Amino acid sequence: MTEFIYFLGRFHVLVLHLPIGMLLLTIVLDFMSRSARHHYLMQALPLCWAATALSAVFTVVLGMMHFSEGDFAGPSASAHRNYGISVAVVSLAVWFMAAKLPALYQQMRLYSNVLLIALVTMTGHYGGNLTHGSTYLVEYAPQSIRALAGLDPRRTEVTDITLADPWHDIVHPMLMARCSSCHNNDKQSGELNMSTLESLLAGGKSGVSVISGDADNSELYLRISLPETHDDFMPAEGKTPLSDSQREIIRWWIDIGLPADTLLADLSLTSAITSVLAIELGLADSGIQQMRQSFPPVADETIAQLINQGWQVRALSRESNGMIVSLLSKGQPVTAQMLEALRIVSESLVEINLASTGMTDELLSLLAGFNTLQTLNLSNNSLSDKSLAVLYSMASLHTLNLYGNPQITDGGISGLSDMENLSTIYLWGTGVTQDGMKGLMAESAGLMIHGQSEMVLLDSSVE
Amino acid sequence: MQKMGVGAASIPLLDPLSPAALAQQLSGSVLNTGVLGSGHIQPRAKRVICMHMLGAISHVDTFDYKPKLAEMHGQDIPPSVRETQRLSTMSGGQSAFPILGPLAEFRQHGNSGAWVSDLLPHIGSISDELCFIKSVHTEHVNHDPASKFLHTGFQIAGRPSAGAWVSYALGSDNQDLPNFIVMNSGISSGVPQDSAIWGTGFLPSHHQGVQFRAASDPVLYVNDPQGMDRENRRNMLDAMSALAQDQYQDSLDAEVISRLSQYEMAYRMQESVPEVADISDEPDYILNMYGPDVHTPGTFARNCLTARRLCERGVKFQTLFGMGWDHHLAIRQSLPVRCREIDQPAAALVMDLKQRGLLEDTLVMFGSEFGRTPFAQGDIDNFIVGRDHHGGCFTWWFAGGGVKPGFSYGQTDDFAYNVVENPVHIHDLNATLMHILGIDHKQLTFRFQGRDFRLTDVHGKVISDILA
Repeated sequence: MTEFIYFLGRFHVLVLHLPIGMLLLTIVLDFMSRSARHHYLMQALPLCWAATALSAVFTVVLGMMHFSEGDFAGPSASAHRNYGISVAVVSLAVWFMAAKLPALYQQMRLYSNVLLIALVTMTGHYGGNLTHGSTYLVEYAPQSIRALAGLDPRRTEVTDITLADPWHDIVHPMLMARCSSCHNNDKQSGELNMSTLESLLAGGKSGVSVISGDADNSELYLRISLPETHDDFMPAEGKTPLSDSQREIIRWWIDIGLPADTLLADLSLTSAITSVLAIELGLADSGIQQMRQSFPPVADETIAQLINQGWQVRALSRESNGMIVSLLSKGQPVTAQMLEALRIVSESLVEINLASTGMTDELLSLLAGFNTLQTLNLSNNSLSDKSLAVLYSMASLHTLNLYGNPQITDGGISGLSDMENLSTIYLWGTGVTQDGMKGLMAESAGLMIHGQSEMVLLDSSVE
Repeated sequence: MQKMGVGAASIPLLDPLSPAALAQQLSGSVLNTGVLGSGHIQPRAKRVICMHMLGAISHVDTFDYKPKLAEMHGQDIPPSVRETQRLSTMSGGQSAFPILGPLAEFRQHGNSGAWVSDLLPHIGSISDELCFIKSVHTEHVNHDPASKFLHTGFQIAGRPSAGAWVSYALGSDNQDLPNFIVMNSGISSGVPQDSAIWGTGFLPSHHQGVQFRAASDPVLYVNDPQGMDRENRRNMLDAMSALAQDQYQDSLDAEVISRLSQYEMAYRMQESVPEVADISDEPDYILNMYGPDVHTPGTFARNCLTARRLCERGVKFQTLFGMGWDHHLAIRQSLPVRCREIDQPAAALVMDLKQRGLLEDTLVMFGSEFGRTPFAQGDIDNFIVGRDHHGGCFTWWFAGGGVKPGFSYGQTDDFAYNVVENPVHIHDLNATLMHILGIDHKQLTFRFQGRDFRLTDVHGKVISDILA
């Protein structure tokens, strides 16, 4: 039964617009009926007042049901209730006058109209405080009006990430934007109020909201990081959820002990969280721009030259300046001239495919200093250990394909263990022995070494 | 260089309709990087090999292990499971729907512990490389619409296939071979298959799949006739190009270019195709990986080997059809035979790509247009019992191409009949395929008859959970 009352009560926020509209219409009709031309409208007034009064009473009843949920506390809630009830009472009285005491109505109507508009305005104002928070209206008001409303001046926009306050500039605005419509001074769903750090720390019905230094056991972090379809997920009822990076920031803020009234400059930050914070504060370019910027752009004429040399050129993606090159015509040998042509764009090269191109040690030496290369395919060529030293300086290289170069041996690849970013290497068809691969594996943690695929061949007659 | 991707567009090569592009095409130096040039997003794979077991391999007997089916063999499938799902007319009239237990034992493989039936021991043995999607579903219960839906995103012929869209968007990395190649093996035994499932629809027609014949010379008449040498051929093509250029300037018909680019492609294929088809340079231990059938042109095993060779040469999209999976009848007898034909070669293809470093940027896909019913079609006690079509759930596996290896996504109920977790619609499968190639399936459109078309129509969700 209680739940059914709550269910009906929530229609309050919908139905409340009826008496407002009807009241305004009735007052307009009342005003017009003063002219002789529209005097006939007088006849409609008792009916209009009846509709206004009855819808106001209905709204009050639903309002009391909604109020009984208990999330509403504080001065705004009781003021909203009292003003709302007086709207209903006064409009009932006016209806009675309009219907039964037309002479009195004629005398009183100006005063009663003004009174009702004032009461409805006050009711609406306090109701708005309940649903949007009391600072909603003046949030973007000029500082002078904010001062009149008794609010702290709005914080000046952060332009230097090191001068940002972790609570006041980062976490609190996020909570205000996403959570404060239900967790404010006036409305405290789950008895939780997020309007200040103190009230947040005080927690709510489920207990403490944040445990300093332990995000994984903090109710706040748990509730925002559940699957969105989970009953306990916050923000509830399909309101806009926090973004992944906002969740990450809240996690970080709890884990480092809820810092407030301090500056980011005084905290030790990892580069990962710094970039997330910078994006949240609007101080960083988006990831796409970062990616684009991480490689210098290459002129169209340069690309045309490469194509004329026999290279096929693609960008890493349409959002990136990074370049992938391979041979236009497969099976043709690559020439020194072609490789030299790449030098001019070497800072934008992410991947080169030189499989089966007749690469030799001399030709490979032309790639010295190509430090942005991440993927290099040198398979099926005649490279030897001598040339591999060229690769050692390629600091970004993560995938190296040497398959099918029989002259490469254990001695050559042992030097690769110093390459920090190297994560995948292909060595089938080289002179590297099993022991050589094991040695390299032992030297370089996390390196995936691919030799010949092992496939157990079953007798094909087995069912 | 925004434009490099968009690319080389500013080097007026990419717009296939411009006269400059025509001249380029005619002179034989085609810069074939498609209308996008580069992906909308960074691609996880550069190539696709799609293995389609046409007729529908039974997921119940191969990849979707349900011990309950063996327990309840012979009992009717509960009506609450079957509910109102559409059946084909072949079993729809049955008065009983007795469960036919899996035809082989299942066992767990590898570190991932994937359950695969003993009908596919080699695929099982490499399951640590595979990403199983067990919750694929489709709306269709018959082969022709279901296959068209799978490959073109629409049940009726006339839309471009996924391979044609990819060719249109990204071109190829080898100018001497077609962007999109199709190979068939086996006999279709009544299951319809036509070129509309590798067709080009309203896209320029040179994007359609080029079918390689199931024979030792995959493309007929690719050799010059006696007395005609390469230079003669070249002169003839140049003369035709000059004429065509006039015709194009007159008519602005894009098909003029399509046709000429096909002449040029054929000219280049005169050298490239015999080289691909000649497997004499493959060592015995590689041939043994693919199994004894590899020596016979036109078998699935040989097609898998050819697919690897095409992959090495940068062919963008390949579809390999394995035929003869429509086991309404005699599934006990036929399924093991079909499985034996494809099991070892499919596994060998994955592992052979892997040791060459090609698996990491090639997406290998394996599956069917739908699955088969866990209940029997026909009399369950008859030795020629079969299984009917089932679109409610079936299994695909992906390998390589930035998908999680040794992973399984989606769940079906105890009867392998309904999806209970993470459903993957055919449109989702295609959206994911495009995403892996770096294409945003929502952005790749083509205007035809007054509206923008795309592979996934207005649907499709990328299954990001399977991406590594």
